[in-house]
Amino acid sequence: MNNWELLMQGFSVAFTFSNAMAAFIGALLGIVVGAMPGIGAAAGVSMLLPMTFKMNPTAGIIMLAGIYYGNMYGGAYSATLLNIPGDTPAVVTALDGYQLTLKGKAGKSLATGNYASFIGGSIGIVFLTIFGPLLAEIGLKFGPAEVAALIFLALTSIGWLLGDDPVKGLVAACLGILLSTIGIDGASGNARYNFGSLNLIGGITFVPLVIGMFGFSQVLEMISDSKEFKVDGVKKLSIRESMLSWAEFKEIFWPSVRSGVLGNFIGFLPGAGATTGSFLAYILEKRIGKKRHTLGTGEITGVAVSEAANNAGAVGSFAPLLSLGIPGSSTSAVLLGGLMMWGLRPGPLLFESNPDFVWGLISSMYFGNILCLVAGMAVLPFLVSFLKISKRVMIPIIMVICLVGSYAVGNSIFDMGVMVVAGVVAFYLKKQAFPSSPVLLAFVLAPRLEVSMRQALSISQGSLWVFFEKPISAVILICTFALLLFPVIQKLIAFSKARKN
Amino acid sequence: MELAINLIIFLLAGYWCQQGLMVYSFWNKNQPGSGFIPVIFSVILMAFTLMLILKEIRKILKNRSHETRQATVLSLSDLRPLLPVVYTLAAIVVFRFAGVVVSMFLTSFVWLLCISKVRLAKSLIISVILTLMVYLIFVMWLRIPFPRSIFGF
Repeated sequence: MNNWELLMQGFSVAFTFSNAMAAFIGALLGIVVGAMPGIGAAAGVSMLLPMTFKMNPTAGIIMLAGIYYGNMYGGAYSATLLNIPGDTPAVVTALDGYQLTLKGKAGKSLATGNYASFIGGSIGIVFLTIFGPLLAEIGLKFGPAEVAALIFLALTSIGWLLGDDPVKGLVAACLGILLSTIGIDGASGNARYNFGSLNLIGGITFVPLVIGMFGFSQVLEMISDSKEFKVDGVKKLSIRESMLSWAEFKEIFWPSVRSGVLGNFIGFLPGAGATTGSFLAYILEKRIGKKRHTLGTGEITGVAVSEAANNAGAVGSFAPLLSLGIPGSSTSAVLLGGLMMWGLRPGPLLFESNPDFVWGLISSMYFGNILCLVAGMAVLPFLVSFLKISKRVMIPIIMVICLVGSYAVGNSIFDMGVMVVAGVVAFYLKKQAFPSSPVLLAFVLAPRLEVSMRQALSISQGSLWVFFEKPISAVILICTFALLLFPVIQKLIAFSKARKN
Repeated sequence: MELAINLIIFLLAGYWCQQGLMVYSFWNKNQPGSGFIPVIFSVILMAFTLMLILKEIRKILKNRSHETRQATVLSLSDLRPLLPVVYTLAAIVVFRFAGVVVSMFLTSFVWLLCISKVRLAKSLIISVILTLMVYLIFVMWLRIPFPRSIFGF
């Protein structure tokens, strides 16, 4: 069957009542969670992950995917109305979005965000439909050496790209790898680093860890920053006043398309994700856009490029996740953990062994994206009162969800303790500018890295040349080393320039 | 604070490395052992944290007096987030003995009323709705075998 037929088959899966409902609920929950300032997609998906345990894997992942891209829509709302991005990708949206709010055009800004999100999301889904299977075909040619090299590159770029300091990003990635070594060694079957605890023989359970790192740490952050959110300058929003005129729509259309393509490409790269995509799209618009001189002063184009890029990036991160089993962002790492819990193994074979699942998910995105646009416009009149929900009320709600969710995976009180410890550690690491996403991504990827690396070395009788003999792994490793050495070279150039001056 | 965190990570990586070399074997019969990956990445981690430690020490030495004053202020505010940690640990103990319904109601209600200073009626309404949601989703729908109280829920 070709892609088109598989996609049509996927639609028949996506349009069953349970899957359509899952997409609808996911999109709605995503918008709501995304609009909550500071919670973010990874926290939203991880806290809601336990709710999908009872569902079949397809419905479960459709719902989680809906939460993810719904979150990208919702992130723009608090960025526009409060100047506090609901998630990091919406940081750029706040630049022009909040200025528009101050000018009394909050409705226009939010509607622009919705339209641009739809355009970016649609571009991302079309590209995923075309390039996802192609990437999987390339992935089929990978042996253990190539897989190990690819994961090594992913871990390096994740550590390098996330956070302000590459060294801290790499420290976080290494920490995630060490955490993943707790429990049974996948290659030999021996227990290790369990500190004599029976609870740790199976390793650290993924869901409590992720809920703690992204959900519970959020509670601690809210406590440490007691400032309340305030919706200034907007009393009421109506759909009619928010609608864009034809001229305004024309103004945002091409920049949104351009940013969508760029954001989607960035989303394909591990670690770069939606945030980098929206930043680069904004920079590109600042260079070549018609409104480049007034960008940042409250232009709907500024909101459009950021939102289109972050939505396209979010969908783009599904391509390496589904085709190679490599998550592109922390949220897709949570999704990967969810897939593994259901016994699915994302990677090149997933397209062949579970076509119903993969194409059902991709098809649901077309439907979910339309749902998000409709729901995004429908919630506009209620947004102002919704964003007035106080932090003081949100804290115990998140706390309860974290507690119940972390217990629900393994019915274990120990997991609740893991959640609390993970939250505290993530909070203090974040406070010292250590990004927490690389910890999670490395935790998810490291077991595969270890198995592939050891398989490759066993085949080659312990010779490290196995990683350089094959062209694919050699090229990947050269890229990895270049990435690792780049900060050093940069510093050397700066040093020599300073000496010259 | 940063120095302490880096030091803890450094020591942790050292422990991982020592265990990987001494207990789980790094290399065995021309093949990597269980300690192979832990040793490689713990060594990398030690190198990176050492870099950060040295950087931090240099920074502290550079502005000694200023840093000391700042560190005292920071240490007090750093302890504030521990309040929900202690509270959550207490909630877990209550959860173990009083069951999910009672504990989750108390967790939300006591926090809203005593710490968030939300009005009694509003605290009660939010807590009841939240507990009901937890009960419907996790107990009724997902059928998670939560600990139960003497009342049977």
